Amino acid sequence: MKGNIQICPNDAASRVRREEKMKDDEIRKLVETYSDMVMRIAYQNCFNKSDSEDITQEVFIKLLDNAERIKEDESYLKAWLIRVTVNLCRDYNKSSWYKKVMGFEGDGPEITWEPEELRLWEELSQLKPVYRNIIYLYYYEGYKTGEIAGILKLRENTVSSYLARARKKLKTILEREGEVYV
Amino acid sequence: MFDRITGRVHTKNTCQKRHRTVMGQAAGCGMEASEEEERMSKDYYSLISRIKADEALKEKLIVNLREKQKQKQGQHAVKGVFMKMKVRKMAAAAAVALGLITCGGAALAALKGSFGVGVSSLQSVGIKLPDDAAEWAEPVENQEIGNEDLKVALESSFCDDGFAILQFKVKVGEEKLKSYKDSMDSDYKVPLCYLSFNDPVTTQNGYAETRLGGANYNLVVDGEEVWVRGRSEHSIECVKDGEYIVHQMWFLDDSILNGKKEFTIALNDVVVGLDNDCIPVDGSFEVKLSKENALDHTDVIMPSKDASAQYKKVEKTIEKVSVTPLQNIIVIKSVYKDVDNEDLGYVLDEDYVGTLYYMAYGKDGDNISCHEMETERKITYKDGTSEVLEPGDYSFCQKEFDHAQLETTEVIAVEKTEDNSKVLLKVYEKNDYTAAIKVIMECSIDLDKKDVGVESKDTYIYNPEESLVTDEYREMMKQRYGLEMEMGN
Repeated sequence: MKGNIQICPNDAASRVRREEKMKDDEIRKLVETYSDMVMRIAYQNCFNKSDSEDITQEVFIKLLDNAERIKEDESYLKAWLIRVTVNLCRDYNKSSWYKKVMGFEGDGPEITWEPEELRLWEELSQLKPVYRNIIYLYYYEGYKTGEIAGILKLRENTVSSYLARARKKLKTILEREGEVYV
Repeated sequence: MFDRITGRVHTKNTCQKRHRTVMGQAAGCGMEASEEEERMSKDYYSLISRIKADEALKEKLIVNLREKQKQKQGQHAVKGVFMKMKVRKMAAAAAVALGLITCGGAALAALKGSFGVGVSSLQSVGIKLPDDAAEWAEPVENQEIGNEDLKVALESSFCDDGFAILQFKVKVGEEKLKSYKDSMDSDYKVPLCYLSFNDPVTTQNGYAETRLGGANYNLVVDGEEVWVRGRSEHSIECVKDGEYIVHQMWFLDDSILNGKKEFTIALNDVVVGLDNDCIPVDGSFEVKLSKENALDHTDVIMPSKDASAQYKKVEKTIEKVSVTPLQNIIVIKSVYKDVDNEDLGYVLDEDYVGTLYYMAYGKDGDNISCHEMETERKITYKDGTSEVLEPGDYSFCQKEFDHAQLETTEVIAVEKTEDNSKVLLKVYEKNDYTAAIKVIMECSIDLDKKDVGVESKDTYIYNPEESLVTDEYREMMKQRYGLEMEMGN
């Protein structure tokens, strides 16, 4: 009767076995490897260190809840982390007004920026979040437009056109920065 | 591929390697890999590299994750039992809640219309409506279009001394929602990007899109098409999976309505921007709006004395303040006298006026929500000819002229506070070259005494050249962009 037994890799028992395999050193490795990236994406979306830290924690908790992904291809895992971070940031931004109204205060010290960096952040904050995410994935993480399209669930044409616009805006921002401070 | 999967802190060498790779990619995808681009990439890289997860955060993460991991492993043995109980409990709770919501919702709808639902989303565009906003809304009935896959319903409307706000509900059918979620994570929320009207779908490069991308600048008022760029705002709130509340707002004053207190808006070519798709919806809306009710409860203040201030070559005058049931509306007229193209368009010209921002403060000096929009812009040349321009348009400065006069009208919608007796409106200028910001004008409006006072100012709140950063600037960054940053020493 063995031939009739179907093995579903996502059944509860398999998940438990995989999760059990996620030992302490694996957790440390994951945090060391991906926490900076998650933090950077979060910061570029909400511009606040304590909120970015909350989002980073949330992303890793989600990862633990989806532990089977750890056994997936590492590039898939990284793309999954990026997408989850972007989605969480979007949810965060939708509710950020509420936090302000409710007197929400973060508890972590802020990143200390030099005046010219602060100004640059101000300019960057005026870009649409999708532009900032595309710029980050392209210039910092080195993804190609097709890969970005896959991660952010956009069409490649859309990514190319957004990237062109975003590059133009980033260029203007950085040039202005150079004129004043260099 | 180079460190695609590491995400580690990068050393100088890995940084350089990455730049070479990015440049290689740029060339590969048809972009020119210029030195300029490489410099831009490096500048950006160096800025972003400064954001890191602190060691303390990493340790905290590791401890928390280990703790959670242990809990999860311990819970698995009994999880099945708990899950079954939880499902039953949730079903019972949902049934009770649904009953309450249905009864409560029906009662509210009967009394007030359903305008209160999701009205908070307008805060995202800087407009905060009072708690009793729903009492002033008019319910709209039998205006639903679409099919089981995608429905759009016009639910309620509000109209006051300028603003017309419509509330829509967009509902995506289960099957359609599932088709969007199929290839995504289970927690993927399908985003509604826009709800567009009067802008037919075109097909370019094989993809359907609207010409204005959901901006809603086309409006049909009493059968006549009007262009309302600068007068349109749009906000979307996802109230539950596949269900969205959309607020579309237009500022329609007498220059559009010619003094009419009642008018009809027609919305054709309805298009829903869902996820990456542009979906036309069969049907159209027609809604009759009346200002009468709101006007009966509106105080209008026409400044009795000269309520103007001069800054460089621009004179800004408070023309009118309306206290409507939902908001304080301040109309400001700006006249740039005797200007040439460099005064208006050359950033280093001494008479050039930079980007203007508005911030409002209540009786106690607390910052309150405000939203600015430019509704009119006209330039008159020295030979008497004039051009009506798009809001914010400075492209006319590319040609040479002198002794011209530029006139603009701005509308500032300021939140009504509980004690709506005083409003202080501050006008800030951001120098478009140095990025310094200063207060150039303060308008004190005593809504009880119906008095408006205007004063010229010239006080920096932020000046990077002198490392000046004030609390007022920090507050501005927080309010406008959600930025909360401290300065370096």
